[in-house]
Amino acid sequence: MEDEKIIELFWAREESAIAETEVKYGAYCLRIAMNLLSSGEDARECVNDAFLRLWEMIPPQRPDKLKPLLGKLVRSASIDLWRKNHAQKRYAGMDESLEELAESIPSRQDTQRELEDRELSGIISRWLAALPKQERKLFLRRYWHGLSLGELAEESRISPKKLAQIMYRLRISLKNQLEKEGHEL
Amino acid sequence: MSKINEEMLFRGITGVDAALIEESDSPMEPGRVLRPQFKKLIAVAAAAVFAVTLGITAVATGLIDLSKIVGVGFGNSIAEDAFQRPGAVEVNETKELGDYTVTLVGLVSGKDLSTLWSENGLKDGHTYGLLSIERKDGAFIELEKELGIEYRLCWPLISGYDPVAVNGASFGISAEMRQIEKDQNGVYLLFDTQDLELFADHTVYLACYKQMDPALADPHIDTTDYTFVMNEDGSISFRDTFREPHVMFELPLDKSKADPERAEALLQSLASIPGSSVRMLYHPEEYGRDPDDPLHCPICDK
Repeated sequence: MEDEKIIELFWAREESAIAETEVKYGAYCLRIAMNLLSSGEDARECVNDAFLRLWEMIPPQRPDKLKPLLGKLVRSASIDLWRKNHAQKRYAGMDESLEELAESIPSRQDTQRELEDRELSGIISRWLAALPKQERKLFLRRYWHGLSLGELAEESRISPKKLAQIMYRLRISLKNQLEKEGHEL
Repeated sequence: MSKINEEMLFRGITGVDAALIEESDSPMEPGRVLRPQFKKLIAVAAAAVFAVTLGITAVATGLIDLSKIVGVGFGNSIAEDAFQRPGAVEVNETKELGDYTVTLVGLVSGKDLSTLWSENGLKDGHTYGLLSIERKDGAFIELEKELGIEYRLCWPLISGYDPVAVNGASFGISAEMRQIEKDQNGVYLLFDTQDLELFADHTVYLACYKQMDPALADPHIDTTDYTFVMNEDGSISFRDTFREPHVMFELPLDKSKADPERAEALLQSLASIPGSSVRMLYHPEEYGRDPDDPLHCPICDK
């Protein structure tokens, strides 16, 4: 089904919107989540979470395309789950309670974070746009789609050692760009 | 300076432009390091296609896909970045230089070059050229031993300007040499010089030649005078008496980018540098040049 029709289903609050989204993009979303989390169970949880967020977003939003939006939602769900699991494993007790308290300072911090995220995304987008296409794709295949270095080396037929060098150079270049724009890693 | 952590960076990457994500959706096109004979084939084919489609010889403006020529494994990020920018000129012209072939792969000049890899020294308002040099017999090249110091191997000259005054040395040419993969035998030279586009209303040359054996050269005499001659019409050529292997490229610069005023200002600023040969343009008598006959070579008669 075309994206436009799926979006119409969301607007009509038809539950089949989720099913159609899953048919069309389920595997894509699962692959991104799996690349990031390496756990089938967690990945499926993230994908379901992303579908739920999509349901909450449309309406009022009416995106042009679903695929990039879903990818972002899956990545966001993955980092949230990663942080949650990471916190459970490492930060029991005081840290946990601090985190819970932090959750109760909602909108301002969320708004602040959204602004920071948007600013960072803008800087990274401009930096990416200035890269040669091949390097831009390598960076995004690795750090957006989450492919491992081994998978990427196989896909691009670049030796893993050379690929690691390219990735290192790209990360340093990004770091320099971020510093130029007033950020520090 | 605001501090960002990995998670913030992750979120920042997550939110990059959808168009960039879409572009990266498909698997990578494999970047292969090609063998020299394939590399030459591609260079010749590309030159032929451009010649046919544009009706000119080996000139095209646009993006140079170096990965087609040398593979993404080329490893020279400066060249990869510089030559894949809009405005880069693909030349792909190959000439014979004695036992070697020299290919002028491409040129890029002008503004905004320093926005990328500025830490590696790309400068705005400079011209960068990429050359590949291979031995015809496929043997490994030891460039300096075989052909001379890399920054003197190829250098720019400009018609209408005495080559002893305006040349690679006075234009601050420097070159970075990269030996490519070991199963290949070529070397790549990335050269950097003052903005040659300013002189695009002249014929701008890239003269490549095997240098004289330093043991035979007189260190007190500028051998440029032995090597080149400016003809009556301002064109520059190698002297008939110059016996070492040599080739001359004419650079396909965009004539609309010529800027005689800025060109003159550049020459004057270079002339003010102590020891610069460009001073000869303005004070030929100080250099033993006859002001009425600047084409005459005083040391050639000795």
